[in-house]
Amino acid sequence: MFKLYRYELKHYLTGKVFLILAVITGVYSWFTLTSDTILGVANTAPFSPWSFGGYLASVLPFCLACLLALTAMMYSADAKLTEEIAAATPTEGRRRALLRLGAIYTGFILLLMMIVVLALVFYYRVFGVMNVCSLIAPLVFTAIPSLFFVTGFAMNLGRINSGSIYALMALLMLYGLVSGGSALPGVLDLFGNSFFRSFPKIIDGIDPAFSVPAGMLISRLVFTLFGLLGMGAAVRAFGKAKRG
Amino acid sequence: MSILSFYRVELNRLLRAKMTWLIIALTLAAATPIITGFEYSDGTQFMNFMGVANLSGCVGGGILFVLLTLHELSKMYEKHVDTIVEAVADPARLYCARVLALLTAAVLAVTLTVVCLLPYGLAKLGYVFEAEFYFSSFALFMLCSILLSILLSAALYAVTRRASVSFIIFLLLALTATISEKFSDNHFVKWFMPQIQFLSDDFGNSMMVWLYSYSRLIWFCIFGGLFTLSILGIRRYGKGFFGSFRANLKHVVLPIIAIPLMGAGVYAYAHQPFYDNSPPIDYDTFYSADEEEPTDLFLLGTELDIEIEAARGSLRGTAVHTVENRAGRPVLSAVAVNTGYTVEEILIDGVPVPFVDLKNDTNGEKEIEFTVPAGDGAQTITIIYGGRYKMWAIHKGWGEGSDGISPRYVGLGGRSLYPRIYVDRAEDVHTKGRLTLPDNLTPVTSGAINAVLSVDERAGTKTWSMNNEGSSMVLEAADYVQRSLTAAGLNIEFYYNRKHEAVIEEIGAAELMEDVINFCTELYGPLPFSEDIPLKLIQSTAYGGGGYASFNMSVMNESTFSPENLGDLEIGASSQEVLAHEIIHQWWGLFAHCVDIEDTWWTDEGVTTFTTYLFVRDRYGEDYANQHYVEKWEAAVSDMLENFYYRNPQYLDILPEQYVEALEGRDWGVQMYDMTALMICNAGRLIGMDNVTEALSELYETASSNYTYVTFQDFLDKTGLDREEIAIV
Repeated sequence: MFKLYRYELKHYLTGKVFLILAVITGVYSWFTLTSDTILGVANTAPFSPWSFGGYLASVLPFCLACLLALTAMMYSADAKLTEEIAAATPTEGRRRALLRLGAIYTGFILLLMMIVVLALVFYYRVFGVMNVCSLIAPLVFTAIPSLFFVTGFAMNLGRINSGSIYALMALLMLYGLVSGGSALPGVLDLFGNSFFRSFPKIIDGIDPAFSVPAGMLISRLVFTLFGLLGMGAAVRAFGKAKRG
Repeated sequence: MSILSFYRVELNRLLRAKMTWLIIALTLAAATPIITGFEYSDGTQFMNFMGVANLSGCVGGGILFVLLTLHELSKMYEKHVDTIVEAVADPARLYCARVLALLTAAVLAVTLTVVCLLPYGLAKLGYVFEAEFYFSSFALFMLCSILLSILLSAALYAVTRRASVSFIIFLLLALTATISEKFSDNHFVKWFMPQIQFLSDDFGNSMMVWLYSYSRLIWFCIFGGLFTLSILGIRRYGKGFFGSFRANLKHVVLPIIAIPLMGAGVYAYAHQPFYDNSPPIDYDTFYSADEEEPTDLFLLGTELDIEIEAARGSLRGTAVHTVENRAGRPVLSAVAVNTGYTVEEILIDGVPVPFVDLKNDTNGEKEIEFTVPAGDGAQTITIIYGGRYKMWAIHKGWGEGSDGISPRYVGLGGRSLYPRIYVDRAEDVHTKGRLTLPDNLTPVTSGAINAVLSVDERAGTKTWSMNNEGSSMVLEAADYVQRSLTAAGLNIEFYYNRKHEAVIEEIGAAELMEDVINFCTELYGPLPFSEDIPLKLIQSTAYGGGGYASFNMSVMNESTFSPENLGDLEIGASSQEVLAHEIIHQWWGLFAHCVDIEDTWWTDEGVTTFTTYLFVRDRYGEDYANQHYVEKWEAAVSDMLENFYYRNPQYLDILPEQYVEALEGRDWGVQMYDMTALMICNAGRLIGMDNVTEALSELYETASSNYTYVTFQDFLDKTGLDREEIAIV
């Protein structure tokens, strides 16, 4: 099984596509850090957990668009052709889908690590600050629900029409664009962009510690749950389709 | 087959595809304001309909057509029919024909959008509707954004041959240019979603059309060049990008077209003719009191003869300054003038003298240096100048300036109307002369009412008189209706655009202005204007920001006078605030001045803002005034005080200059307007609002009659308060 996983990793992550996506994500992240994050979010320091969350919320739509580009490969015409051959092997369709998903998630984690490392380098070089622990909470809060939700949604879309994944990419980017400037309720604020920019202002005190209200936490859980359910349905369908 | 033959086939195929019509329908939907539902709270009707439709159409249509482009270009390879097709068709020609067909589909989509939105636009805009601008705005904004998006995405696909990668790079280039703070002060970068914040209902939008025509030209050159160059990347003979590039290089005409085209775009970007090269504002000196060096030159008067060519955005004129050189020796002098103008000749007592254009663009003007010889008595300095008006670079971020010359509106102040000479001002100086304008424009200048001197029907111009008691002159010109009012015994001339006539009557704007004047006259005393020199209240273009006041003119932007903004109290205080604020400046800012070298934030703006609050409190009650004014000031001040860089100024050193400028500008604005008003309000809370009002009234009387400045310490002394009791910073 590990051999197959390694094969999927090679297929998705060692090609030119992933390399180009990684370079673009890196450029965009650095650009965001030096042009937007440097100003700080909600009057907090640029290296506060809030500003880091704001940075992630700005970059994540882009990073997830890269993940969708990899997901689109999973449902491309070429992949469908090779799937005919793969379906003839003893490996179950569901398992193959999970292996591919694992490889795509590995790619996403690599991109996410790059985004975080770039932020740490930026904070250290510009402000002389390196406080990794304070950034873990906003990272988990922002990345995990959006990752699961977008993947679950995209896999079901890709199953219906692989081209619609591109439309989802555009929607994600536009959503990221709009959500920063509006006061979205938690249930709609997928990346927490609006939350990071408004919530610190309503907490008493200057430079408040990172905290999340219960409603926002529940909405994260709902996003995660929906995402997992969507992924489960897509993986099951993948298996069924191939068995059929 | 030629490209044209391929194009016919491709267009036919494209227009038969369901996907194409879906994209066209979605593009139309994206530009439909009913769907986007977004409105600028104090925007004009043009902005809230055409502005919003175009902006959403640019983004929605751009992205949708990029998806269609990538779909169409990649389809052949995904279906693995490329080898068959390319056996009979040249891939480069096919690529060009496909892109041309896509561009045609985009034109069709925007045409349908324009046609479908027309009934809605006619119904919504009513008398404001202008067919020419309606069509040109969609062509210039929405259509161009979509065409540019298609060219860029096609070029990216030709290079990468990966739809996903091309799409992500496209999104990066389009959205970064649109949303990043880095480009917020440069609208020429906004190729995808133009930076439109204002559109004028009444005063024309020529400046915006000129700006964006030029901006579109830049990007069509760059993306057109990229697209032409990308043809070299079309894969041939089963080779990769580099192999195909080498093979395609035999078409030498492609790089010969592409490289100069891109070069022209970059050159046009670097040498745009609309904005000058003024450096960022130094806020520490910009708002401090002017302590000009004595020049030993005394101004006795200025005579002007100016002709404005509104259609070209330019003027020509002669300014004759009569001066006395009391130094007893030649004096190096200078005039300051708009950076777009060229001084052609300077004559002193009719004799040409050498001069140097320092080209030192600063705060929207430059200096011309020359020497005034020693001499007894008056000497005349004649300056012949002209050229196309250039905007101050500070306005580059929001796409338009507050001044300018355009076919339906002229707004010129400071050194933009004529070259102002650096002198020690003498008493009883007059600035007067003649002004020639197209006959559709009525001028309003500082000082006396402008009278028609002559009419040239053949040239379609009118020449008007100008006469101001003072060494400066400000001009506003448009198709104005003049209405005489009286309030508190004061003669008022109210100028508003003819197109707005019915609305002005409907919303009772004149009554509101009379109320403000009555209120301030009761509070501070009457303004010393006469029948010959009345108070002039002027409606101006939406591009002019809020408004301003100068000598006997108070100028307010057109959105202040919309029924939505002036009639609805729930919308907030902004429109009424602008209207009242600019009138109150006649008292604070023109006849009495607040200046403090120690506390530089103490200016006329704070006292004027506070007086606006008093007026609103008197008219609508304390709760309303506190909600819309005091709470707003408190929020703005709190936001400034809590900002990381305000609390830790040592970190400002690491910020790029443009950010430091933006932060300092914001802080200065908050301190001058909100913080000062809040401090006066705090004083009122401590000693009673009536006592503070009385103190301000007494300070006004002293300052206006003795020509002295009111300092913050004067205010403290008058109220008997300590600095610590009310100071915020």
